[in-house]
Amino acid sequence: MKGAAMSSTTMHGTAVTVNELAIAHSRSGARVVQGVTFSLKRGRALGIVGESGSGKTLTCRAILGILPRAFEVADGWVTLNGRNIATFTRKDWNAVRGRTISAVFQDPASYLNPAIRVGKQIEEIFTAQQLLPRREAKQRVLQLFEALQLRDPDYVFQQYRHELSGGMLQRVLIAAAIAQDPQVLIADEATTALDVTVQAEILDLLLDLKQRTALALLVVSHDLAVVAQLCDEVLVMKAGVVVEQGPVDQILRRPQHAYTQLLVSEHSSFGLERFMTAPSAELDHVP
Amino acid sequence: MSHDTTALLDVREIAVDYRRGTVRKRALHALSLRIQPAQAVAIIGETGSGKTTLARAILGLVKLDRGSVQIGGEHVSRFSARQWLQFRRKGLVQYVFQDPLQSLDPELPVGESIAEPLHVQGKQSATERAAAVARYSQLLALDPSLLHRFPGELSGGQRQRVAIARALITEPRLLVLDEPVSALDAATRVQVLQLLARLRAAGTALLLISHDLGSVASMTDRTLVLYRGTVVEDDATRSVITRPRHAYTRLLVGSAPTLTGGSLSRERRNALRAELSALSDAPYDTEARRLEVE
Repeated sequence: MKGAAMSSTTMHGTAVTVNELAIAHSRSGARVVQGVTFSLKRGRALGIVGESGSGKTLTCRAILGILPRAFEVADGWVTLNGRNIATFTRKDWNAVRGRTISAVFQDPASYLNPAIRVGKQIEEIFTAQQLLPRREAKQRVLQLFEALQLRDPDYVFQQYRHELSGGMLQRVLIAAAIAQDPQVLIADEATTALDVTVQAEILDLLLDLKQRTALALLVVSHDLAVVAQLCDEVLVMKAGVVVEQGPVDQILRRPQHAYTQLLVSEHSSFGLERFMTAPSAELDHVP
Repeated sequence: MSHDTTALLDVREIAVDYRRGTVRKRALHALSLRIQPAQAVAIIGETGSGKTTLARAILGLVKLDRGSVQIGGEHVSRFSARQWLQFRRKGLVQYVFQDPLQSLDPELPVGESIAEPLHVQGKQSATERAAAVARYSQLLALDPSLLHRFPGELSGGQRQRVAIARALITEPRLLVLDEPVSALDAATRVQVLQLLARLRAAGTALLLISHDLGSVASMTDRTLVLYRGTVVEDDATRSVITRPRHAYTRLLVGSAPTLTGGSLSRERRNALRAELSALSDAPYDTEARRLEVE
């Protein structure tokens, strides 16, 4: 991987800057996201928490330059490695997607062709752009599968998407996302549909990548605990605006906004935390 | 074997096999479970562990290959299709499916969906039914204006509450819920969990099925952990969480995301994963997948 060879300046450089970003419905001009500001350094992880419809996915899509047709950036700017993405041509995007910035989403199966073996599809990342000859490309894919702790990479390579479990598919998609050593990875509800134990494996893997390759992670989740596990900083979004923002520890210990307080208290009242931290006398009492 | 006559639900040594052609796959293996009135029990397991099969077996939706099920003292596993129909109409046991969008009739306004179980029973007048719908929608904080809408016009949380209202309207003694809160946003999740706590306090027995121990632990007295069709842990919920015995349960507890950072280190989790995968020859994920498919 690239991390080891990187100079210390790029290791700690700012990969993504978002400044006062606003996203609006193209036709009505109604703003659905407003005033989002943050910066993300290499080797760091930032989480965005919020319920469905809070604007977290639109914010990610704006950063990736893939906003749905009905929406547009109405205000503010985003830079990727210091370059304003508003100036990017299609060619610029082709050059950065996969190599500088990459993403994984909630439903991995929908990103794979059902009729082509999954290994072949990841191999195409290298062969379609003539980055590597076919044989070497296959070797590279097998290495990636192994790095993502897919047992028996050869077997996985030969499977079709319906033959793999959700956890395995998400690992295959992460393999595709990191194939070209991007500096930024956006994980948008990437573990939401998975079993808890598989989710933990994927989260461990992302942490590992972040540490080993200085990947900058942007983690989107409706679950504050997932973000707490992975991230250094967190943005809490509600109805298109950031209601709270800061280091994870601080937000967990002293949540200021009512919505953040709800997220924290939901865990302490109903989650496993209740059993692990509460004195046993209180355990049978449900608020 | 004599059945426990005080139990509301008494599942004895049941086994369920799924068959495809000549291939047989055991989905549930010698499973026993008893629920007393007003007790709340969690069934925790991953995809393919057999937890949904168990719910279906209790409700007579899959054939048992072994064992028996009694509900309220009746031997339901010996029922004919006709007896099941009559039994279900009484509404002693109600089931809330995982995805309310698929279980609610898309062409029926949700108010009518809620009333439907009473309609089927045919014992109450239209006025009584309307009063019951009003009572249960209020209990679930469903605004009266929502009752005229169709399921597709409601949010996920609203649909889940409609599905629960529909299940409660027959005043069941046992409510089975499959992933009751996993798909919900925090605010709605808190509402649904608080409602379940109230129901339990009012004497309704609950069987909560989930892949996520953390999501339902606070609601239950007892937890059974299912792993590949077998119960690997069956104890007071608190003991399961604080003193898990089986490797899978330890991994499950150590994998649940918590605000405090989890109870296990990454190394410990990896060690448990290795221990579990050594329990089986086949790659673990594909094995689970096969169970799910067949």
